[in-house]
Amino acid sequence: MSAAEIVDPTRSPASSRQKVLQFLGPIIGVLLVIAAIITISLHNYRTTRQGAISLSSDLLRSQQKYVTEEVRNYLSPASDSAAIAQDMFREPLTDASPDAFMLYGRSMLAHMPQVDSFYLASDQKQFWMVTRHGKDYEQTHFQIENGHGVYRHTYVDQSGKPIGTGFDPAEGYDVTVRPWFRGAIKRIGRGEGALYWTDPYAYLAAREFTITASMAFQTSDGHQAVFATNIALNRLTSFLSNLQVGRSGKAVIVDMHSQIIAGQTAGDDGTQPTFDPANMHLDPKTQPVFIRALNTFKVKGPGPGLVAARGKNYVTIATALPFVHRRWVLLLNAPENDFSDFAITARRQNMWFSALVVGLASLLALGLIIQGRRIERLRRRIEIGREQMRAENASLYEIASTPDLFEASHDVPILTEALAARTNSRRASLWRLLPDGERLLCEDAFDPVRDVHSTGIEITKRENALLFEALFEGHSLSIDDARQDERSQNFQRIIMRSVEATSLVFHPVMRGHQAVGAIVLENPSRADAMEHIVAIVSSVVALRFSQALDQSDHQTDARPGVTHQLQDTRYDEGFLLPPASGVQDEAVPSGIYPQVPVMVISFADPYAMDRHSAERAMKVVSSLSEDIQRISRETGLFSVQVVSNRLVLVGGCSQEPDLNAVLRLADAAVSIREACLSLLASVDIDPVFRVGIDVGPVMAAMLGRDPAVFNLWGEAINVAELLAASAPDAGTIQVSEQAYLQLREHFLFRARGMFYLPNSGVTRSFILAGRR
Amino acid sequence: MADESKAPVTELTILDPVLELVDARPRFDGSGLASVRYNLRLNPGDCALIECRDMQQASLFADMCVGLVDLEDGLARCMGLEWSDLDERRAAALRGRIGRMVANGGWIDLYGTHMNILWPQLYHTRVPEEHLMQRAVQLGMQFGLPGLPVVSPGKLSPLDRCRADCVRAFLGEPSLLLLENPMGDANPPLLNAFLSALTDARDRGCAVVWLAPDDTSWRAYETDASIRLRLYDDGLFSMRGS
Repeated sequence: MSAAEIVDPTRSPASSRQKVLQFLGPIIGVLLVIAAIITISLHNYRTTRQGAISLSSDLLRSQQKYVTEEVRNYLSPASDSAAIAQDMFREPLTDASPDAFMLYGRSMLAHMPQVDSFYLASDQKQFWMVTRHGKDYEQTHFQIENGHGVYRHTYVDQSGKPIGTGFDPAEGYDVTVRPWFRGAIKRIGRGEGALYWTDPYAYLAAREFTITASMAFQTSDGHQAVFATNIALNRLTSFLSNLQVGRSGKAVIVDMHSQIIAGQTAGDDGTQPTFDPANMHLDPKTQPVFIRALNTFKVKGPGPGLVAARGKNYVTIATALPFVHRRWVLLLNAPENDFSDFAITARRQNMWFSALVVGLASLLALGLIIQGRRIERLRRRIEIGREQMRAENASLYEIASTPDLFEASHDVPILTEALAARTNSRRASLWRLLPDGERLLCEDAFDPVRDVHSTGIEITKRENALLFEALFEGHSLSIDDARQDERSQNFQRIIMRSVEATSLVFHPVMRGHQAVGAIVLENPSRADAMEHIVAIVSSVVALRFSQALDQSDHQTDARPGVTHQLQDTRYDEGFLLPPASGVQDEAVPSGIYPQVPVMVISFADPYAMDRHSAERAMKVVSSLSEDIQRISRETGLFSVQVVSNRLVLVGGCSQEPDLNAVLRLADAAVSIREACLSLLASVDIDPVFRVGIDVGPVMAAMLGRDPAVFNLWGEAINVAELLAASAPDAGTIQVSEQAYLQLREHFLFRARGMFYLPNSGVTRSFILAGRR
Repeated sequence: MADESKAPVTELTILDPVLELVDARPRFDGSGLASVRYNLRLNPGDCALIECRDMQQASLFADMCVGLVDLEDGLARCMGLEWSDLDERRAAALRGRIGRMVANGGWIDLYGTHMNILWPQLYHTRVPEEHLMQRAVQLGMQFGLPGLPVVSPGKLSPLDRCRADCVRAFLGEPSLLLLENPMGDANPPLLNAFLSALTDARDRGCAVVWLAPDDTSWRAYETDASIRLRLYDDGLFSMRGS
């Protein structure tokens, strides 16, 4: 196949597809494995995540129940004591200390750490309070003394024994306007809803965050009394802060306006001077998860949820705390990771396992590809081997079918051609050892690049002693660099350099133990495939050379002697009409002449002419030459030169364009054609001449010395010769475009067409029909 | 191809035929080529001279050799490839290795002769245009043209068109030449140049099918041919003495 072919028809698309599949198949397999693993991993991850979230929600839900119960328990003293109080303290309140209240209060304070103090007040502005005072208790009574309000404090121990007194001014204090009092009064008679809860507030004296629950009831004298319990929320906050929600989860109780009741307060624990319980709200910047969870609660109601914030997923749960007068909401959140860590770990492990599986699959695919390519290479090698065998068989067939194969006098070029083709050598040659044993004569050398055979070169033992030594010993030489090896250095210089060959295989041809010649391969490239063909050719050549050797042994030295008689070399110029006079004096100086009209007349060589015809033709040629000579003189041509079977006629040779010279030449062409046609017709010979005319540059010079020969050569002569050779028919005159342009007004022409020439481009040629 | 490993090692298996018709029976479609079995085998360098009075039939036979005629039965192989096994693309590529001179000229007059000559090689190969033109000019000169003709084929004289036809067929060193009456109007110099080119091509390993209505054009060459045949309605028949 030609390497330049765009589509190789011998290459089946099925095999190409198979090759592509062989390469892509494993890759697609690996990609499918990767896709399957990714899909399974994704599915696993989603399932696990859902499970983890569900589990997290369950955990949070139980946590939430626990917290709810804890909060209920925390706040229960308020409701419980209020319920008891309306039965215990029905006696009218006076300035006398209500011992039952005090005893009850001390007892409750002793056992309920979250309770901060108890109030008992009436619409008659009576106000009693019992609260802690270090390890003891403080019982406070508001009374009017000398028109001024005073808090009278009595400090008692656990058993109620007074251990001290004190007072604080309470100018303008009116218990009936306190929110807890008024709220309770408003709710009197509402049954379970009678308990009034104030908003949380900071009880700065105790540095605590407090909430007050109060309940009003009627005393036995018909007045309205209010029993209130102050509960410190700090402990609830502390409880919620310490509550373990997942690993890093948080809990908070807020109202519907995002105000924090208890729990994480974004760093503000109520101890700061700027502490304002009214502004204890969730901070969107630091508590976005609670904000979103509360918003979700407002929209969807209680339940679990998922919130994404700060680049993480949080599991949340929100529930109402219905036992407080306002809607408090318990919010819990925990990062998803706290619960689904195992899922992430499992996912990571899965990824590693997947990567391992993908890696193994890739290795397998790579192995398959490599194996496939190896098989392909082996198949190709087998194919090449088979092709070589077929080619070798074909060569053997050609050799075997050569007539007179073993006849030494008959040339058999197929031997070197087969050697060169099968060994892919730059040149293959057969060398015969001459009877004197001193010389090797090249019987046939084939150069496949130039497609030529050559013969006749000799190498001598004197100049190639080591090579002849190997020949006589029958050693085959395979030399990679013949320039460096002393056995082949000389041979390389003399023989191989002409084809720029460097490696050499020198195989002696033996008859028995006697060397009769050698096979030489220059730059062979198929060392593995040459043994067989070299052996075959060697055996054939051995028989041929042996025969030649035997013949030479029997022949006496009866070769006719060559006489060397010297004769005078002729230096005839071949001019029928010598160049214009004075050439010997260099009237036409050497140089380039740009516009020289040249005509070439080419006569066809007669083939296989018998003697009679040849003698007749010679007479015609003689007569014809005289006619041409005459016409040339008559038309005044510059010169007429005979070169073998061609005539070169020059109209004029001057540096200036000479139209007359062109016209004279064309006139001579027409006359010569007529003369030739009539003469050839008279002797019944077909017209065997063609004429070409061009006007163009030529070079003129005197060549040689003693005698010096005038010669013209150059483009115009080449073109005229081409035009003569390519004249469409015998007896026609073909002129170039250049000549046509100068002759068209004086002669009749027929256009032949436009032609492309590599160095001239598109040009036209014309057939000169005759004179106008 | 048949299973060659089982075939005896003879000439048949040693040399791959360039063209092989094995009981090839074209489908009958009334076009002119009889639906009979044709057998022909041409090894590299072989030349078959086929005489056929009806050049239309000869053209159809050449069409069958290049896989353009559907076969009812048998095989038509070219360079070891069976035409029926090849898709259109490969078949076209294989035809690119065949030089052909068709009886009706096969010229497209809308373009210059040079394009008509260069097209097949420009289409099938990556040989640079300059190399192709140089080679075409060489061939043109060999066949008696002063260069590569650039006028449309219709404006060339019949003889120059015949020369251009030779250039087109021999350009690209084809492996098979299918020549339909190539030297119909040729003069002796052109015939000589043609035979010279033909011999060179055969020497290179090209197989040749030379179809002509009579033996006048190849008379000087018939002794050098491998086989002489006649194409009748009944099929191919060897001529006496071939």
